[in-house]
Amino acid sequence: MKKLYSILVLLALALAVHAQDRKNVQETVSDVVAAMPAQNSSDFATLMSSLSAAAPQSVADLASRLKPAGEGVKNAAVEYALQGLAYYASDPANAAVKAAVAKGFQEAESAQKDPYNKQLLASLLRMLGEYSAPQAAPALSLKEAKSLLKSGATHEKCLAACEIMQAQPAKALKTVASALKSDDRIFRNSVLSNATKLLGSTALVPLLTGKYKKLSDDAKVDVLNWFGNNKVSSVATLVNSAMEEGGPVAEAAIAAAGKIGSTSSVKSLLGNLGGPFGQQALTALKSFKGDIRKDVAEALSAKLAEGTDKSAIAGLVALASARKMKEVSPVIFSMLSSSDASLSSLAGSTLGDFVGTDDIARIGGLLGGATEPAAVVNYQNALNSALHTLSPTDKYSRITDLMKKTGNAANFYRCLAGTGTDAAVEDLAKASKAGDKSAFRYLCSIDNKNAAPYLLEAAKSASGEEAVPILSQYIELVKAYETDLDKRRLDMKEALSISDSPIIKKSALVGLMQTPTMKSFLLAGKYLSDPDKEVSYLAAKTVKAIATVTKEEINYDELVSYLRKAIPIFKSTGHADDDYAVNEIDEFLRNVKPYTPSALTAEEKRQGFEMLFDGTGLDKWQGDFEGYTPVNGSILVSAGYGATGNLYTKKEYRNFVYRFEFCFLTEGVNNGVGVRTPMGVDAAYDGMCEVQILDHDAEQYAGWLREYQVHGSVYGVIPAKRIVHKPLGEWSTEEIRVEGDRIKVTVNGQVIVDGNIRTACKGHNVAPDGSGKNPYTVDGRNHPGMFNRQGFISFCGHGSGLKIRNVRILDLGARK
Amino acid sequence: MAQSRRDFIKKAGLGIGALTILPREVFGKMGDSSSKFVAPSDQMTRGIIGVGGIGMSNLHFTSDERCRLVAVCDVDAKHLENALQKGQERFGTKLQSYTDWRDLVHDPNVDIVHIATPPHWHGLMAVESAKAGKDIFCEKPMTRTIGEGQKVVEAVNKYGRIFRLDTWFRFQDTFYGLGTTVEPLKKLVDSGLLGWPLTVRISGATGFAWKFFWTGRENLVPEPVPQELDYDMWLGPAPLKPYHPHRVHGSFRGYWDYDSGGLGDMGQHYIDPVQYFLGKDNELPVKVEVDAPQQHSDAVGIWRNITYTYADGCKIILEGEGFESQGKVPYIEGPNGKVYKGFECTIPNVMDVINELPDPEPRQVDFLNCVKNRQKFALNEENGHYSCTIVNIGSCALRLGRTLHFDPAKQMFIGDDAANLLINQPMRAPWSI
Repeated sequence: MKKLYSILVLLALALAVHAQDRKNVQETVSDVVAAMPAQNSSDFATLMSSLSAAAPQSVADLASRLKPAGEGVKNAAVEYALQGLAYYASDPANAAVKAAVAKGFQEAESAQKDPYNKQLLASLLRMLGEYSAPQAAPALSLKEAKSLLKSGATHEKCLAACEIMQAQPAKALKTVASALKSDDRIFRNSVLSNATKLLGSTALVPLLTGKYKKLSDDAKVDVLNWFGNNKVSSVATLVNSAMEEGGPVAEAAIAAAGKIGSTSSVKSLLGNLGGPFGQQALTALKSFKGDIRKDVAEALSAKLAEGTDKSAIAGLVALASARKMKEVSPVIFSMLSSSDASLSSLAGSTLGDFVGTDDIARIGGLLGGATEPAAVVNYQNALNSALHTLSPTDKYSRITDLMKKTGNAANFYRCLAGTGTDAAVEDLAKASKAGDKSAFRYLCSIDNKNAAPYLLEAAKSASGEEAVPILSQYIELVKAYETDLDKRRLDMKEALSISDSPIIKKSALVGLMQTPTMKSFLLAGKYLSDPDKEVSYLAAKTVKAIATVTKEEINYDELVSYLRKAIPIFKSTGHADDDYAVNEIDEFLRNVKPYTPSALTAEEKRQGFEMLFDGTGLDKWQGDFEGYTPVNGSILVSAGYGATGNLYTKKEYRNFVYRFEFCFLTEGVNNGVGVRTPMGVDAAYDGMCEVQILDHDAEQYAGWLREYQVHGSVYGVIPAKRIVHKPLGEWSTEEIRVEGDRIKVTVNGQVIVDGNIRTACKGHNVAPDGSGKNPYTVDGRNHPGMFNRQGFISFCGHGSGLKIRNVRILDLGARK
Repeated sequence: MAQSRRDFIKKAGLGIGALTILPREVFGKMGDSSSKFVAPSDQMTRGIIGVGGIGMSNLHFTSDERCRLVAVCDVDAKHLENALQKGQERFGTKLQSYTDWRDLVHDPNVDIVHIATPPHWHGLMAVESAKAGKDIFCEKPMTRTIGEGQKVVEAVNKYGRIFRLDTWFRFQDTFYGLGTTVEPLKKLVDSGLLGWPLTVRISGATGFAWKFFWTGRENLVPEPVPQELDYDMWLGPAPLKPYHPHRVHGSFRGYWDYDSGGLGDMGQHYIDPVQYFLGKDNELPVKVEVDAPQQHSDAVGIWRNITYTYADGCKIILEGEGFESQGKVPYIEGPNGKVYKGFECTIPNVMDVINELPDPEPRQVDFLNCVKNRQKFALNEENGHYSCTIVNIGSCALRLGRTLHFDPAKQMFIGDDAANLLINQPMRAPWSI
């Protein structure tokens, strides 16, 4: 009885402990799942260590949380945890927990009902197994292989020979010997290659050299290729003499000699430069390891002395020039004065490859005296090359020195431009202005930002086709040197306004691609429907590139419409990466959310308010569309480069209630609402007034801002009650009510101005004495437009960082 | 066993009357052998498997007198229809079309199989193509696992095939942030002027973007398979998972079952030229370290850094998008010099130095010539497998979330069973490699 009792107690205790465990395991698992996926290895180790400590129960618990995939099912966190646990336990460093975790996966896998989840568990369980090397595929029996070698198709013979050689490596050379007799190139090369893998190249050399002479030409080619690929230096003599055999054998021998790189081959290779395989010999010598300069110089001198083998001379010069062999330079200079025009022009066209700073004066003399256009270009190239290690200013002073010594300065313009110096820009610009066309031509090639204004000016006055190269260079300079993104875009825009050549469009689009701003996007998008396919393709690439990299917000309507337009362009072009582009756009568009346009309230509708800007476009506005851009429901005021203008209503108003919301993006924002103003003037003076929009809380205004300048003030006339602005990024509401001379400003429900402008200045909007000092206005200035009876309503830009939305008006007409 | 068209011609011997394709010898005897006319039997033929993405690009959807496109295969009826239409428009011929790639691989009219499917198929198709006696043009990344790459190397060698992996920056084109071809870099590195060991930083900061938009989505809600798609065949060896459009076509890269995100897709473009200029075409790193958030079981996520270290101390550092080093960081950094984006170099007048050095050894860069001459293409199964292995050891470390040590000779991880289990991953029946 006592015994039974104690067993029951133990059992109960065990059950209790088990229940306690279960609860803890559930908690652990829940905690870990909530933290999935781990963001770094230390979090991973901590989380998985707690899961593995609770294995195998933790695996069972996790697995029980997997649901069959379907709508609303979120298995991912559990999947991370399961895979994490399996991989953690598979780490040799965590071998202690592996058995328990594996047990858990085994049980969970067999308990799992859903086939896909079962498959996941099985694949993870596999990762907890032991690795054993896969069994090699059963080879053919020797008998099978031998019969296949006789009757099989080529690739089967290759296999058979390979298997036979592997089975009997000692006899492998026999197989090679017989393969070399085969007229099947595939088979020969396959056997050669597999025998090399099996025996190493050295073992094959005696056989191949011994058999070489008896081989067919085709087989000789294979063997020579093999010598070259295996860099068998001991066969150099054989290879050298094979170069004499002519035909494909010689061709293969030349390539092999180049790869083997034995000094004994240099003369033979040089000798082949003028021959039928001169190109192959040149390739071999260009890559020939070791110092061959002396041989080349000697060979060239010898051939020049003979003077007959022109193609050999050309080959030697090509080689010397490709490897920049300065040693050959005296020979080249002497060739320049050859009576044989082909030799002198050969020397001239390659001269640049042989010269250094010591040759500057000499080349300068030649260039100054040159008249033949081809010779001029050659000497210019040579001079540029001789100068190229000097600093730009040193180059400039050396060139200008040379120019002083010659009556033919124009020959030096190209080199002058090549210095890229400010001084060169000035010299060339000055000469251009004096009518020197050659100077202008090189002004168009100079790599210096100072040239850009000259080019723009010239392009504006050039006729259609002439403007294209000038503008192309202008765009290149802008791309290279203009770092202000907005200025770059405007420069591209200006170039595009001057020429509609596809060349300019393409060049500017590339420039816009490198200028990833919202406005670049809008500009590039206009070229998506260009009739030139290359232009529209570049536009597609540009809008895609900008949309994916810019940090600026792009208006949803254009964003979506331009990217959708780009998709078929990518699809129809069929370049290798265009599929990816389409995928990238699809993915991007999936994550773009539309904005909700603003709408009048029921009350406003009833009262007769009109929506002036609901987010969808600026069709009721005119003026500076550069500085005021609709972006996702708001007007973004971006006084970027050159954008400090005003935005005006299309209609004029007399009496009205004007409502809008505004939000500051940066500190110190300054703008204003112009009332009853004409266009193109300062509304604060020539309009009825400007109601100030100002982040007057900003540090920059502390201490000096006048009371009539704070937000809401009728600028210079009626100071507003100073409010405290909401934090950056938060929206405020504003209402401006204008009736006759009365003006009332309400911000966030608080009236901050309620006055009469006429009484505020006692009827004296201008100084009675006709002077500029008006004692009747708080700013002491004249306000000649104050009593305008009607005019436009405007936003008066003084910088960026402002957003405006939901602009609406109740037109009270002539009503007082 | 399949019969190749060439064998077929050879075996047909003199029974040429019945053939529309004449052996070259016949033409040789018929007239001027120097004629530019390419005899049909000299004109190679090609079939593309996968005509949804890269396979349909104008880069590859070509046919000319050297090589004629004759067949296309896809598991999406719409893709196939588009390809046939494009073939009609561009070449004026009706291409042979297949829905089962094995039929294309065994088509005796196809010499070269162009594999343009998602990576989970590459290894299998390449091996089968080799076994069928085809030469192979395979899109990057070469294979999804290291083990599959090993099988491709083996099959290509055993069956005497020519294989080209389709990325090309090791031998042509200015590549990404460098603004130059790889050759001057190779010459500079070979010259020893930068010193040794070198660290290469493949980062947005040096002009190489890792394209993190190719991440997968979790909690996918299953959708019905579109009628035009043979989803089972699309998946092939990959595990059967409920269909969702994001798993396939343009966005498959975000799922471990088929690829490994931007790392998988761009990795070989970026890393292969590095292997070349470091002179490590027969080497592999011995260590890979990762700094990344935990990865999901199915959807590929982002990562901060992946660092590879070779036995000699050279390093390749990959910096994820949004986690790039700040400021001016070098692309290549050695004890004695640095190379920045745009090939800006701390060595004065570096081009003068480079110009005087011999060019790198010439390589075979004309794939069709390689097929003809049986010479290895510049980027072939062997060096391609090495650079792809770097991508794959990176994805193994990323998935496991830990540092891995690698034995380049054995091509196995050291002391980590789980990592090694990722080298050869199971294939769904009936597929096996």
